[in-house]
Amino acid sequence: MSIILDRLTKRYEGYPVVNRLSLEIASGEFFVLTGPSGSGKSTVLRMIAGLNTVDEGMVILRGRDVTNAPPQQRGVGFVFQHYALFQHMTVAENIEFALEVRNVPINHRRHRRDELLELVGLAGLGSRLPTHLSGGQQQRVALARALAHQPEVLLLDEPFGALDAKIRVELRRTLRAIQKELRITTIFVTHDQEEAFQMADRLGVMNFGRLLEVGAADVLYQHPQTEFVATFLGTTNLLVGELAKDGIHVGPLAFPPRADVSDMEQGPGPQRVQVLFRPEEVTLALPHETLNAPQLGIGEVEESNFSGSVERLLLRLPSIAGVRPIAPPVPYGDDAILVEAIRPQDVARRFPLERGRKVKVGVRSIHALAHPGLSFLILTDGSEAAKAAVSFGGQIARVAHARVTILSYGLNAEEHQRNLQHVREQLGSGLAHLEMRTAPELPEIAIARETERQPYDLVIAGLGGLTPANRLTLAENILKSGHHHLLLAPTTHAEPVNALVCVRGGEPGKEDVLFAGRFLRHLGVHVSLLSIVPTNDNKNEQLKQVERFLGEGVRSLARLGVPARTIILSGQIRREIDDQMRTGEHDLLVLGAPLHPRGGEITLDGVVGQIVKEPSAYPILIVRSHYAMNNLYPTTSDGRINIVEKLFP
Amino acid sequence: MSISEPIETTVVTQPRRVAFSFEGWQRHLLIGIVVGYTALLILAPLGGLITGAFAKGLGPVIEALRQPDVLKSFQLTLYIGLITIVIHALFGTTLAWVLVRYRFPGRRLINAMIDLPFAVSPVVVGYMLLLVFGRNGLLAPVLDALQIKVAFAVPGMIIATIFVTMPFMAREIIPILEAFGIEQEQAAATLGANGWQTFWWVTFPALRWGFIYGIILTFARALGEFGAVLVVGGGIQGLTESATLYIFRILDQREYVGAYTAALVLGLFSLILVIGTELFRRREEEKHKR
Repeated sequence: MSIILDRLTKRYEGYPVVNRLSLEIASGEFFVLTGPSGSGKSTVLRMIAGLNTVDEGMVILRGRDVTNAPPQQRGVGFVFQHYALFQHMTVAENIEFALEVRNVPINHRRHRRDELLELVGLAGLGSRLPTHLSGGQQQRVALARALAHQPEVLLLDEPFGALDAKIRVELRRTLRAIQKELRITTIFVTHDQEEAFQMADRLGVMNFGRLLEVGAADVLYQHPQTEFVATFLGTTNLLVGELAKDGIHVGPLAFPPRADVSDMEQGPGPQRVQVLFRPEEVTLALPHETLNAPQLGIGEVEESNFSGSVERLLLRLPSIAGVRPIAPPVPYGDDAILVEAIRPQDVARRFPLERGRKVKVGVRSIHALAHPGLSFLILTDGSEAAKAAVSFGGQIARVAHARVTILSYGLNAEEHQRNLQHVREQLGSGLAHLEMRTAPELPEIAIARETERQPYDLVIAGLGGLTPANRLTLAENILKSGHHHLLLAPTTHAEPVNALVCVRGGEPGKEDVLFAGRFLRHLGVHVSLLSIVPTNDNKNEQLKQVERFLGEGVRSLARLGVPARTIILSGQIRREIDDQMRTGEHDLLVLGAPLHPRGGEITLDGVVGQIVKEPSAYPILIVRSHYAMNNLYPTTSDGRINIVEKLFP
Repeated sequence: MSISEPIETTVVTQPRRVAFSFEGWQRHLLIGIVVGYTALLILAPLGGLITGAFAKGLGPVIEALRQPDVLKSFQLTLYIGLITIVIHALFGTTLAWVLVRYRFPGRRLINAMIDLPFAVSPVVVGYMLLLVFGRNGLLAPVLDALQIKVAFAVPGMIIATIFVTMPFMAREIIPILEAFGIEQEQAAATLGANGWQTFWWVTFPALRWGFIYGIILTFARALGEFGAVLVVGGGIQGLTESATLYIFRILDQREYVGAYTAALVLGLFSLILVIGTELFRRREEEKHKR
């Protein structure tokens, strides 16, 4: 193995930007690391080069542990996105730099320089200054410079990101040819899928600092194991269907069980699965023709786009009972199913399909992914409030088929044992998956550690018995320590029947509604969508906007199988919510957490804070919009972290 | 901003478009105002100085320059100027480096304080230094014990000059260092260069024009300093009398030709420094363009 990364971790202001990443790369392999901006891929590369420090874990290059070695001693070549050529030196001087600092005699240096110029196709341009070269030529110089000292490992950080399409293609070919000739172990970071597919021997996909999947490009494309990889690589159609004994069902579609689903846990009764089919698996026919594949439904052509060799079609199908679309995303408030399809250009020319045309939509083959379901983290410190949280959390986990982790915190070993024993008795059996963890620390540290190990959808805690200020602090700290939503359990409860979801219009509000819907669906509750408009003069226009927003929310919830109605009130927010909870017979309150600034502290000020502070007889779900999460990491525009102080101690 | 982002420098190749522009007589008027303004403020005094110096022909000018006091005061000025630029070359560059590359408590305060010498009158600076280094000053016991004389002596004048020239070096280098970023240095590190090699081969060449400008401006300002060196040095003839103090004294004694001549030499010296640097830089840039 040429490169071994062992549980590599990098934190920035407490957030892991690279999270326990382990990876082995063979000698001579061309490995592509891809993922969205801010996923941590550049940081990984920079840690291998020694340009960023490592917080935990190891970097091993050719059997040598270089975790704490300075970049000078690692023997890597690094190519930057913006070339980073030495501007005041000529091309030749740039390439010779690594040899000059090693005191290589001048004739050897010249020989090597000419060899490299030849290799990257710039022979004869050695006396030019970098500013006299085009972007593509500059990156060729950077590549030659990075290879001059014959490094064992070549690292390229989005090297062609700043170049135009044609030059990019040319440079990819050059790089691949050089890499094959030199057989140098290479890691190439890019967010461009086409580039990733074209270059990679193997491909790794990262998101939120985690390496999700590693494999050959075609395997990851055809048989992804996670929803993220399925939607990140290529265009995809992803629907939630059911896995039964006789196969996989997506509405009218039925496919016999295949090898790739056999390793899924087969529970009693039908199970939810995510069903993936690529646009090229979709086949179309006009209403009077017969389809040569199982039919999903009859759709209408929504969009048709020319894209070179193929035609891309977006088809709109009416909603199908029991089927929920994940990708392509359906607009908020719309209950249709959208399907992407492609047709070869010659077919498109012969049988044009204009907008609005009705077609039969068939699917040739599918790939099924285990539906991840929800995962809950329930906090307990053995107190009465915690016991109530465990019992409430256990109950909803059972109906939601959620995986549960119990985190016992702030106790000594003996107390932990007693506490967990009690929890076990309390929960009994019937949970999909139960895990027990203990931590001696304060809750926020314990949760931060636990969510770094494994992300959770929901953290459940009991706040009974705490002072108002402590309730607020605990709630803030729990939200601060990860990306999860928060459910505050009451001291006494019955199973919730009517949920009150308080929303404001706008993008975060949409996400709040959708997550609340996914969660509440399992509880079988009725939802009231509540919006409170401040009393003022232009009430009419605002009211219409809110009405429209809530109406769309009801449709979105209906698609998830959650019956909902709307309430619009005007007045003082806090008092109106209290009134509704009391008189409207609601027994679960859902609130959106305030958005917080990038990298900033989470504070529950305003109404949410006031409500959290006071003991309540009903559970409160605080939903966090992904809108804010995407901005968590303090990265630069090209998605990398900049820690200047640490580089120059 | 809590973290510094590398600033991308892009070369603008498109012809510059001006959002609005005056045409015809308005344009001529604007140009006329600028030329007149510059001439009135810079060229006229310079011309006055030249005619004043040469009012009685070349003979008295040469005679005036031969005065031992003239030579002595110019020597002292050059001496102070040279020490000042050596010190600022080291500490000014370090200061700029530290302010750009590190984040520490008090950084903003230091950044603001660098400009203090621009705002405080040199006379006040001189007085402050007297309060520290003078006979009854804060450091008097220490200086007495070491038998070092600072106030009314050359060391005091050097300290005063260093103080008033403090902003130039840092203000020239900081923006260049910020624009330069750290990527080239990181590239050098991955190529095997150690800290010093990186500094001398990569960073310093990129900073060199800021560095040279900083030195030139510092030196020019040091040549012209008057108030602070007068208060701290006392202008003792033959001892702490720098060129500007000499000019002031003989003007007071109504030796106009001598005063104008010395002033002209001092003025021309600064002018040649600044213009010469500019010409040199242009030639270098032409070389890079070709």
